[in-house]
Amino acid sequence: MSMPFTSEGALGRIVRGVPSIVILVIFLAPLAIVVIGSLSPRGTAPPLTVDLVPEGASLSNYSDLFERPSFRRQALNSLGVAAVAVPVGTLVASWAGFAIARLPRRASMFLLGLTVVAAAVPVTALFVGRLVLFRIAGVTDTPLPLIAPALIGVSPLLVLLFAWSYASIPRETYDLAREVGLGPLATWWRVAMPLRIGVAAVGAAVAFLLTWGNVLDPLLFVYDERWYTLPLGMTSLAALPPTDQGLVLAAAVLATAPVLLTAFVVQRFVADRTR
Amino acid sequence: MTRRRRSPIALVLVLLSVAAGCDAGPEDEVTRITVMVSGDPEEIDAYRAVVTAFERSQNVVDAQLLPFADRDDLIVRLSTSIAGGQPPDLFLMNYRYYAQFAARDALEPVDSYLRMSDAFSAEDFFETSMTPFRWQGEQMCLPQNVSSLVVYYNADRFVQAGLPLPAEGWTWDDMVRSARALTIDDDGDATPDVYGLGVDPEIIRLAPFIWSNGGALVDDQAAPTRFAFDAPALSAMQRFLDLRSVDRVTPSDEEAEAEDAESRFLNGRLGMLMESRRVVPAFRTISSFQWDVAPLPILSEQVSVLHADAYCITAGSDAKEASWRFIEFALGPEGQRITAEAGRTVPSLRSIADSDAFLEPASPPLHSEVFLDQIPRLLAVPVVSTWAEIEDVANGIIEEAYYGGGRALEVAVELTIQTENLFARAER
Repeated sequence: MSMPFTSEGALGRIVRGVPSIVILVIFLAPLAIVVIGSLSPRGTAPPLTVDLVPEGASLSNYSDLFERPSFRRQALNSLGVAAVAVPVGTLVASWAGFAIARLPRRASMFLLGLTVVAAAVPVTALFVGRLVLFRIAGVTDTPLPLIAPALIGVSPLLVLLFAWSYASIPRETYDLAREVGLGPLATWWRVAMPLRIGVAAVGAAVAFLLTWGNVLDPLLFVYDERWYTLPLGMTSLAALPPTDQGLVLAAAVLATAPVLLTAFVVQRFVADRTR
Repeated sequence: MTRRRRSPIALVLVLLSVAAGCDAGPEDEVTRITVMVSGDPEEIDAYRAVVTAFERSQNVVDAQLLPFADRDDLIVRLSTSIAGGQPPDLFLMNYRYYAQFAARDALEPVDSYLRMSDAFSAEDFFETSMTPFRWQGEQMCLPQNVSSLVVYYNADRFVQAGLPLPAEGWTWDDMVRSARALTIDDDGDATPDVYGLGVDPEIIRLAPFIWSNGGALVDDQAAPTRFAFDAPALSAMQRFLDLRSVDRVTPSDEEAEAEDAESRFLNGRLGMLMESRRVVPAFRTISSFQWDVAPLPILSEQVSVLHADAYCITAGSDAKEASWRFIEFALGPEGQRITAEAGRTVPSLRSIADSDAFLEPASPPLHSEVFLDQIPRLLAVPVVSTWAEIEDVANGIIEEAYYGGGRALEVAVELTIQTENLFARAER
């Protein structure tokens, strides 16, 4: 039964809303500082305080960025890599998770353990091995090393997320699917996936975040500057002198925008389905 | 009848190819080399200009620049690519860090190329910058610059305070006196708004003062087995540490974290800054005050520390001749002129260092010749394979003592103990 709109109910809503507002402010404050800083003109010393409107504020840093061929190319590369890696990675992670959830208990536990171990292996331990693989495959002059993680579901954590999610669907549901003649792929597509579409959306968002923010793979495995992505370009801009701080912050705003947009869209999507 | 649909993945790959520009010509007619460099965007632009000019100058070698913003990124990438069997053909690196690769036989000695070269000879370069790149009797890399630690100063603040401008022969005490006079608390909140001096508490900044005081950094400069701080070294180290804890002329740890010294200088809130040539392009944007450079102050004798980077050819390169050809261009008059005009480097080639391309009478600093005057007095830190790790450990200890009021003797003991193993497994 819903609570009538009484002063007690309104107060309750306000009290419940306060933590959300506090958290929002804590997380939005740095973003606001970055946005304000991005308006500072180039060639000036970094301001000592955060003014709401910096002296000489303009959007020139943004136009400067888009006039840089390297920035445009890196942004396009990042978008292209994400456009391929996110759907492929989400699909692979979803399939792997489904397989783990549906295998007999012993095999499932074994694969779960293997996935946990894979998640625990330090990424640095695999650098040389991965480079050798890419070299043998002859793909170091291409963007394929950046897309390759999608072939293993982007991250073992994503596989675990899907496995946990599909395992939580009641066994009777899967039994019913089998009784009506659905094979594993059809069961995944017509039963498991629709029931856990919210998790798929979150998984895709995580895949996007991991792919979009991946700085190590382009740093280590790309041998052609033309395939550099935005995170690597950002490290280059970060080395600019303090007088170009506004330009660096403008790039940070542009690099952050797709992440925020993704988080917002997925949050709305999940919220709509859980009401 | 079903209509065949294009795969979206294939479409994206095609778009990516178009975005990257599929304009490469027939590759079997030219030798392609990869050149790995690190630096800020202005420096990278200078290297890019060198590559462009090189490609214009000939049509048999296609040089591809692989730039990194951070030196550590370059080292990680280089280590991985050497271990993975796909090293770049060339890379540019400071003398403090290349030895780890020389020790792994990952570098191609350049003596034979240098002897056969028509572009230049070893004598055309400053010997000071050549020596640290000799490894076990062989010239491993060829230097592109010969920078040093100097003092940048805000001339307007010196004039306003009625202080003599820093100049050749000024002493440590002169510097501390000036730094005290330039440390100003404008609003009376007991926290200075302007500091007299900015210096990073690192071994590379401390070393020249140890040498200037007649002290030693290690037991044997050619084959060091440990840090060996003698009495003059300890005295110099204590004076260095006192800059923060006793003289109070440099920003505190928190203040330094909040705003680096380069930014403070740009803001006009730092009287002096100890830095290499690296900061000149940024400082040339200063319009609100006059600035210039001076040699380091002396304790007993005039000394500074070498900052030099060099091109190294990897042993695993399939295109060593083509790589050498690039080095001949980049370190020859045309290539060095391009990097010198960017303002960031002190050329290693004598003829360009003495030319207007470097001295640039129309652009600050007014006394660029200070960098050249320093060259005969430059000393290098030891060249051993583990020096990068030794620096990491040493910098942590020095920083803690600098901001925490540590004593030189304690720091020396700590440095010696903590780096013992690193020296023990160093190749030299």
